[in-house]
Amino acid sequence: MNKKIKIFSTVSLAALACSLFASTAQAQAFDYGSFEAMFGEPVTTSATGSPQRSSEVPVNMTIITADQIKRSGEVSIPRILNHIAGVNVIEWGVGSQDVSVRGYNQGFSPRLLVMVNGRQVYLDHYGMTEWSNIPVQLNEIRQIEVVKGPNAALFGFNAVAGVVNIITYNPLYDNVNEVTASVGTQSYKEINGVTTVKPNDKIGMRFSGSGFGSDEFDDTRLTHTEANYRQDPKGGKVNADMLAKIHDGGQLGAEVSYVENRMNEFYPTANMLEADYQTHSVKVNYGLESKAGLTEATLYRNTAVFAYMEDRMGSGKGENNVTVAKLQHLVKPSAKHALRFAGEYRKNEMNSIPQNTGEISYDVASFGTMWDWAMTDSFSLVNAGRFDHLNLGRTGTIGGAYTNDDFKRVIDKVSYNSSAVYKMTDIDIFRLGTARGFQLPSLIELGYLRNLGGGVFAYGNPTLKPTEVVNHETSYQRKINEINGDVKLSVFKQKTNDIKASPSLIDHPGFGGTGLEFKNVGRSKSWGGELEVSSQVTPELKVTAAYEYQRIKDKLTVNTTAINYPVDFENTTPKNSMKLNVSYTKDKYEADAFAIWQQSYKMLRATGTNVLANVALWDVPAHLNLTLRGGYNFDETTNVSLTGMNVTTSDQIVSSGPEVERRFVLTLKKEF
Amino acid sequence: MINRSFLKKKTISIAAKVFFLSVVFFSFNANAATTEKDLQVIARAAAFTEGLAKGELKAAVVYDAGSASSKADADGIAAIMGGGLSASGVTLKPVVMSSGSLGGLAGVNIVIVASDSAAVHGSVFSAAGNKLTVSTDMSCVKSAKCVMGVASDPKVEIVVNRNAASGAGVSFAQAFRMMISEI
Repeated sequence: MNKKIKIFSTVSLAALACSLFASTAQAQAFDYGSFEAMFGEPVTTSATGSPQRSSEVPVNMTIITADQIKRSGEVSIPRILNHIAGVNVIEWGVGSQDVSVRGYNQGFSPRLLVMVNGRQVYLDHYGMTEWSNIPVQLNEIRQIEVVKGPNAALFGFNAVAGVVNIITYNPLYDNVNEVTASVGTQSYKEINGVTTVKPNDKIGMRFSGSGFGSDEFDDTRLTHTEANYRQDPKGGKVNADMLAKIHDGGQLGAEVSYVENRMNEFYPTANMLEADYQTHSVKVNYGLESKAGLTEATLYRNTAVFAYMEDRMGSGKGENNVTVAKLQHLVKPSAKHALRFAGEYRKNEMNSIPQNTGEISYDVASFGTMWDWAMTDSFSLVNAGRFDHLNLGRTGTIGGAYTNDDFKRVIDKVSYNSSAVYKMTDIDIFRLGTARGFQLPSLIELGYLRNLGGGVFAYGNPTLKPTEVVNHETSYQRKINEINGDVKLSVFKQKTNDIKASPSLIDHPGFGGTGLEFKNVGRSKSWGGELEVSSQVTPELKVTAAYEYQRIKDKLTVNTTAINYPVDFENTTPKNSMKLNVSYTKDKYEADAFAIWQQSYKMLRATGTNVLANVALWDVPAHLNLTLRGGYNFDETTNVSLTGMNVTTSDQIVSSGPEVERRFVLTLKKEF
Repeated sequence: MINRSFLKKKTISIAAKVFFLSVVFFSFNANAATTEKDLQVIARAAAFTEGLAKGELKAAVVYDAGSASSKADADGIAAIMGGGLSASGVTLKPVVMSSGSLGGLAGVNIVIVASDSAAVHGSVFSAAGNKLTVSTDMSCVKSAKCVMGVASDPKVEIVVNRNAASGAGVSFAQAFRMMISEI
């Protein structure tokens, strides 16, 4: 890292901290539950960093509430996210899904930044999210906040297609005590528990844990080689979360987690293969409310130990450590202006894989600011910007086309979010925004190293450019009393530059290439939108329906005559999709349905027996996937439910992975 | 052929009716009776007032002694609150008070100003001193005679007058300030 910038960052953060901590501490900290009860709607900090009502955020955001999670009957976070318009989910297996916003979905989907209470659970080693390893139980989630479009000015690199911030209940303000046991067809079994302990009114602790196992989807579509690297998914997770009032206006929080899972995943090389993950984290944060505003300091360290099929080949495990220190200050200096200042330092390290002969690392120093200007009672402008300064490096021995000196590289990027919000009336809101974010090359894309023998290497590419995503969008939302609900129309146009792709056999020296390496392969444009209608038809019946359209046009520098690289977004994104959610409650009975229909499209799949094989486009026919849930409340604390997934058919093709199967899960919940 | 003059008169007539109906509508809304939902919002918002203790709080419900509708709103508020309205750890216990007996405000924690009390906004604010004054009549907060104005329909709106708050020495939690309107 540039020494001057490091010194500047340190001094700036220290000065900001000293000036704020010297202020008089007063009042109380942010409490999602109290604000939600007062405003009659969820509140969030994931749009601008400042607390806001969900209906007034300047970005396109959907918040999934705890009740919606419960009523969905779904057993995983990706399946819950699939209920939202504009979110694309591919289910590769029982424990393996990829999620994207507005197309561009793929194995190890890299464009969506996922966090738990602001702590990144997105894994930097491959630029992806392993959803099974997120250390939360569904019943300890207060809400899932989904931002569509880049929000890199707030969250930094990789928040390009969108952001998912999972907010758990506050151990100081909320009491969650629940045990859930599930059994199902295909040997599905899960048990989880959450409990909150409050020794006094100044400290709260929440503990959660779970164990899970199931048969995997049948593998009739797998190649012979892939079938050799297949396993039934299983895993477990534990998490502890603590929050304490340590002085007037000051709160100290701590979180620790450990998760272990194994599953089968769709690799970016378009193969379906096994993967094992151990992830653990430690986080400490301090929040202070003073007359100068709201200040929060956060320090956390994430560790991901991962083993892909190489592990069975005796190539060892990879380990990625991420250490992040953040400081943020929010202030409302006048009636019409709110400001946010933030600094962040990040250290990211990984051993070279699969050949553990060195270490690749980078550090990032960042500074960001946000200005929310309420120009009139009905019109506001929100502008946010962030500067990231990255220093890349590598140590150890190396092969292939690059030396360690090639890794001495600096990446400076500026991200922004700019929005105008016009509250036309009490029931209308209009948003217009533009944003830019950058998706970093992952540590594997930069520093992979594999000696294939005969002087041939597959290697990462330290010269890879970050992928730039520029998004323009507008939305209009109106409350409609006639249907006791609202309607929302969103339209977006997006540009993606410097797309990255995994190696292809065409780069093999035997085919005239110089070695197998990751590359930037061109650009892409997309546009589309979502139309959402929700209605509380009667006190018992709620219906939401959505139509989404996504159109992508790739301009790649590869795959011009044949598909040699596993990259194609134009053909692999469904253009038309429809989603329908219905919830009905009568006395102690609950009935829920979720249907998703998608037009036919294609998906990439490796065609050979080698991992780095040529790829082809496989047909995915138009399909309807229906989830049904029935529940019964014995009393206020005990619920039993039966969920059927993909109920219309025993199995069907929804991707180029294994066919999804009809499954049933019986769940018993007991609060205490 | 349509007579242009007739059209013009007709347009003016329609515009006048729309204007009249709008005035009636907004006047009605400005003085609408305080609802239970309004009072829930008031109680929850009060919980974000710095220095205001949680638990049982005495809430004066002040009406204009010269206005029957103001008295009716105050009585309605007291009826809704009953023995105490609880939200967010705060229980507001109502004490109905006439604008003619504002000396009683000394013993209360917050002051709820009934609708149709515009004539006494100034005297109530003065008598309330450093207490939180709140009303569903937004004209009270706009004229800096109430610290806070609250509406709950069609959506919750909370407005704080910074001058009135400063004058009364009332302040709020920072996160609360960031989510409400300040004037």
